[in-house]
Parts: sequence; structure tokens; C-alpha cells
Amino acid sequence: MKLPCKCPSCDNQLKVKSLSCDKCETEVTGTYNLPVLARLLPDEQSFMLKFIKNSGSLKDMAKDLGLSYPTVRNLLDDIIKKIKTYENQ
Amino acid sequence: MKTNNKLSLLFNPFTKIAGSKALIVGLIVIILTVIIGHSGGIIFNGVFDIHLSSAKLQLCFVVQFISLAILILTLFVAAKILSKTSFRFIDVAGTILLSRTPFVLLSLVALLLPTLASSSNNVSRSLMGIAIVPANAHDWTVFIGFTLLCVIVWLWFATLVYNAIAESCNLRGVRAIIATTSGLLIAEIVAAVIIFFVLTASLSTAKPGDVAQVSTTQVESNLAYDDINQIALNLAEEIKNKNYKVLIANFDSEMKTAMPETKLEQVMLSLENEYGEITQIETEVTNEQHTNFRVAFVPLHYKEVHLRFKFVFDTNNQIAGFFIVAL
Repeated sequence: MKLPCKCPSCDNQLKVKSLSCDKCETEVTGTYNLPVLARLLPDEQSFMLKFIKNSGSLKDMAKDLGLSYPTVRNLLDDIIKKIKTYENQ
Repeated sequence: MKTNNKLSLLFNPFTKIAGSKALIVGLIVIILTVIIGHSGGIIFNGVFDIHLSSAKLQLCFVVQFISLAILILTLFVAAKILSKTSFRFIDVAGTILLSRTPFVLLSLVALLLPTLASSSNNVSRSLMGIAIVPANAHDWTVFIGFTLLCVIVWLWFATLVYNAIAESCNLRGVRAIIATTSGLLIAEIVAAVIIFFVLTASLSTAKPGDVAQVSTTQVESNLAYDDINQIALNLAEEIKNKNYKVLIANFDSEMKTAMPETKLEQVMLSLENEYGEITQIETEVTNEQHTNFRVAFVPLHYKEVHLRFKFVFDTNNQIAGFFIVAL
């Protein structure tokens, strides 16, 4: 199941309203912003995970993804730009 | 889907290959392009330029690498100004070199079309109104076909350069278009100027009396170059005075058969009809040597054009070849 980040009606950023515990059935309600990383698209999140698993080596990432080094760096730059935009909101 | 992916790689392979890999593959492709092009009688003396030429292979390499070096530097600088992210020089260099791949098509076609040079020259002369023999249907087909191929290759190359810059420098949209267009334009102009000086320098180092050594074979003959050149000058004067018998007397047996006096008269008359009479024979004879043959070039002025007589002397000091060539 995918975690929705945008409102299906108006495309606005969704916020976390409640969190629950499966073990003791405790429910916490409030209004929490989604973490920045959670707001990224599934492809982008997958890219970030691979980046961390490759110890931040874009060279290894490029081999892993079958892409050229500048293409992988461009993907990272685009994600960095997106994260900065979310942080400024 | 797979076909689309393969097709997209033709115009943007740089998502898969860049950096040192692209540099090596690009260099190999360019070396092959120059060598095959040289064999086919063409030279790539600019970013887009392609000309018919019998220039030496070394010169073909020099002008090609000058134009590519300028192109890479220009695009790198343009991208540095316009890009908001950092990028590597080797990615720019590698992807730009790889972008030259379409030009190998032109080299291959030139090699496989032995009539390219003659057809192109016939069409050019016909267009300028100075053709002795008008271009025929074959000439026009070859000329137009090769020109169309050049246009396709140029468009393909420009697309590859755009994608190379977009991918290696993370430029998109208008910025990528500006970087590509300005880089190509400036590189073409700068390369043309530098190559002009290089070509001029390579021509000016040849002085009258210098012998362009095509071969180091020792020529067996009892005459020195000064004597050969004097014979050439004397023959040129006889031709100017329409004493063709004297020229023919100096032909070897094969030349006498190939070019009897009547044929020689016809050729000279057709030249006279096109360019007017010979007004002056210059005295600055230049030479070349091809194995055991020595060549003397005698510059001359027709009323409307400057040409050269090319006398090819064998070891018996007889004329094994006689041509009228451009300067």
C-alpha cells in the first residue's frame, strides 16, 4: 500500500491526523506534518534508500541502476531541490 | 516499448553512457571517421563543416581535433554560466565526442561513392556557369543525395549535443537551448578562424622550388629539378603559343596514345572558350615527388581564372601525365 501525500480532491499536502498502536490500541490524534522524506514520490524514496545503501556513492548507484553518472547525479539534484522546497514551506 | 527505448537511445544515449567511457568510445569513433573520410576524399574542417579534399591524413586529424576542442571548451563555459548545479568536465567532453557519431555515416558514404568528388565538382561548376561538361542526372543525384544526408547528420548531431549538455550539465528547457545554440555557433566561428590560419600556414610553408615529398624513393634521372622546371616552363610557353606538337613530342608512348594532338587541341580550345586566352605564364614552379615520378606545377593566368599546368615526368624525363588543375 502506498502512503498518500497529496489530497485526491485538491492536491494539497496531506497531514497526519492520527496514529494508532496495534498492540495496546492506543490512538494518538493531532495534526502532524508528514516528514519531508515521506512526501517524496515512491521512486524518489526508493532512490534515496539505494543512495544510503550505496554509502552515498553515485558511481555505485549508476552501476546499480544501469544509468550514467551525470544522470544519477541529476536525479539526486532534482530530489535535493524538491526537499529544499518542502523545507521552505 | 523496447523499440521506443532503443530509438530514444539514438538521440540520447547519455542516460546510459557518459564520462570516460563516452570519451573513449567517442575518440575511437572520431578517429575512424577521419580515417574513413580521408580515404573517401573528405575532410571535417569545422564543427559542422565537411569538404572534399585530398589533404594529408595528419591535417585531417589536426583540423578535426581543433574544432572539437573548441566546441567542448565553448559548451563547457556556456554550461558553467547557465547551470545551477556542479558538473564534471569529463562528462561534457565524453558526451560531446560521442555526439559526433553520426558523421561516420558521411565518411562511409564518401568511401563507398567513388564519384562523389567528380559529381560534386561537376554540379558546382554547372551552378557557377563554368562547366566544360554540364552535370548529368547521376551527378545531380549524387550531389543532392549527399547534401540531404549531410542535413540529416547535422540535425542528428545538434540533437545529440543538446541532450549531451542537458544530461551532463543538468540543464533543461530554455537554458539548454541557449547553451547549445550559443556553444555551437561560437565554436563554429572560432574554429573556422583558427583552421583558416592553420591551413594558410601549412600552404605557405611550401615555397617555389621546395619539393613536397610524398615518397622518399630516390629518383633515377640525369636531370636536376631546376632542369625539369625549366622544361616545364618552356612547355607551358609553347602551349600558350599553341605549339602543341612540342608538348606531344615530350610525351611518353602511353600519353601519345591517350592524348593525340587533336584531342589536346580540343581540350585547350574548350578551356579558351570558357576562360579566355592564356595571358601569362608564371615562373614560380613548385614540385612534388611520387615514387619515381617528379611533378612540376606551373601557375598560369587565363583571362578569367588562375590555373596550373601539372607535368608529370618519368625517369626518362618524358611526360607521363599532363593535367590542368586549380591553384
